[in-house]
Amino acid sequence: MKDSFTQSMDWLHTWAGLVFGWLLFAIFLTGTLTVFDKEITYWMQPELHGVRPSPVNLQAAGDQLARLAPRAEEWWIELPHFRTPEVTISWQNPGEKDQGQRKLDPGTGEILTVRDTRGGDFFYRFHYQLHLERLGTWIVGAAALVMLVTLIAGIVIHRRIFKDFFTFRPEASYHRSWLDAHNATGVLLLPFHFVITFTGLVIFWMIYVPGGVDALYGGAFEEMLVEVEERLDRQRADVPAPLNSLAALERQARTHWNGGTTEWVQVKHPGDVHALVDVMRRADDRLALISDRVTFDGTTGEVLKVWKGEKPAFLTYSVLIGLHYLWFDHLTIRWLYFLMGLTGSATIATGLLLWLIKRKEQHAENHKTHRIVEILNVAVIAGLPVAIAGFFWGNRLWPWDLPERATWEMRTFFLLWILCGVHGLLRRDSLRAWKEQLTVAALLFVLLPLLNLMTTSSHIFVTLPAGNWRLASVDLVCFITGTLLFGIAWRTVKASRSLPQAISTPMTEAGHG
Amino acid sequence: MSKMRHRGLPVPLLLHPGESLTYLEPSTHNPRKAQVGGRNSLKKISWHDVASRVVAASVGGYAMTYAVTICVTVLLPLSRTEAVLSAAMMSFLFYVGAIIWAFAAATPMRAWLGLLLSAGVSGLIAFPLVMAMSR
Repeated sequence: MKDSFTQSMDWLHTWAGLVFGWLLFAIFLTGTLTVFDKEITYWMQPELHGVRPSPVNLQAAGDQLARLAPRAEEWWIELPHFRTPEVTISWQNPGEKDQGQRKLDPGTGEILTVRDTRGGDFFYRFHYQLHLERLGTWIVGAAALVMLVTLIAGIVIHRRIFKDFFTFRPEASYHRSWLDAHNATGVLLLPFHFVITFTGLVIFWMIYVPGGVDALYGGAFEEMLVEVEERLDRQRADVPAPLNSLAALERQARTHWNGGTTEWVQVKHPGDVHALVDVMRRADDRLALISDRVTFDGTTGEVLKVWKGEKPAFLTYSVLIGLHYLWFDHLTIRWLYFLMGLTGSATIATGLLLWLIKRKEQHAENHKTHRIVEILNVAVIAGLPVAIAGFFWGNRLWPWDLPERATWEMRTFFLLWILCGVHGLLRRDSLRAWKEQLTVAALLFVLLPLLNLMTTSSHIFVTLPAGNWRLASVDLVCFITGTLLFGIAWRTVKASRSLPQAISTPMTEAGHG
Repeated sequence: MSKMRHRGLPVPLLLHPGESLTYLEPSTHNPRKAQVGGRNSLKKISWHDVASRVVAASVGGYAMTYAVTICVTVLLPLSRTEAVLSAAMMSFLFYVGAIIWAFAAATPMRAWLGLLLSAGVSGLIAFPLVMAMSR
């Protein structure tokens, strides 16, 4: 494209990075939050904080399901775990589009009334589909692909990659310190960036590049999945028969595994003589994301199949997606992922800022494109933290019995984000826009523990003395984040006083009418 | 060493004042580098060049990836599910390669040619094999 391969890659890195940078920043940041999605969900449901952890009472759960969904086609029981202390039962009634769901106390099986919230699942769904269903999955996939390309292009243009890592020149020309920050964070975590982006794509291979399925299965995905997982199913007999003891079947299933705990119990055609019970193992002690499964005849309790997913390509695939999903439970690694995700978000953010700062340094006149980039930078990099903090505030403030409460929490997030966009548009002085939005984000985060104190009894002065670190960490991380954001906002103020004129001068009317 | 302090904070990392790190910067201290990749010598790209390459990368790239993936799937001497999964995992690397090719090729025509040729050849190899397998 250009005179040399390196120059072409330089061009590609710059422009692909810019066009997809804002989207990638949002995907990376929400992905980072998803690392602790279950902790966030737990924090957002204070009604569950009093649930006493206990081994699951499957008999009680089964009885609740029989009472609530006697004619369902399928029942699911999600067993409790130290990250999720309650039991979740769900069911699919024939002809209904949505599944029914209830949360139960693990020991007694009584139904728990919990405020309606998406919890950490909100960030998870934003991260991989932007809450736009299939279209969103495609957009995120395209962004991930471009991220991979940008990473490789970045490697090509930075030949002296290790020297770059050890260079930081804050006293050099203004944009050079941003360049160094971008390089250092990018190079330091290059393996992580590559792995997380690649594995993210691999997860949805069936949506993105289903060539193999089209060729060998005529496009029948379900058929392939059934073959890979050796799933069993059979038609209803329409002959009623009592279901075997779920507790006994679950105990029996565990004997087929090397230790390990159960995550799911699934019942197909409950109450029918052709019922099937699948007991699935929790994949929290291995890298490969495989839920070993034992399938029982639901009436007689006979073992019909034991599946372990041991074929090589499937294992490889499972390890790859396991590296991304991180169901492997190891607290230090989880925190490392969190910190690496934040650093990756910083790499993307510094890249976006660098693009603009370099061009403002080099061009005296103001371009319309610069103004658009400027607004998007503030709205996304500063605005997204505001929206995230607002989401947590909404969780504590929206009334408990508000209809569509979960949707209102989501609306709070998106509304705040749009407001930040509007604010960025209206504020001519971009440094002031940065300062104001960062300060708002900082305030919302720093005051969140205080809001928690005023609205629940799971606040820091209760959880810390009780040693409940899972809950206390959310408050603490928010507080620390707020302080850091205050620090950055303050530096923005300082910078506006000492920056070269070209960069700190607000875009005037002359530039864009 | 006089530059080792900035705003009162010590900077204990290696410093390379004046040296050009990447091709993004013209270097006033290294004339040779300025000649090879200095910013002033980068040629202007027309918008239709860019547009052609973007479409080549996205659409042509997808066509190539899809065809090559099917080709690899049917050529791998593995069971059905294993072959499909193996090729699927590789497919993203093919796509990345296609996109880089689309922007590294000397002209947009070459970009398109490369992608469509690979797709065509893969299709030609795979087609009879797919037909044979589905019989």
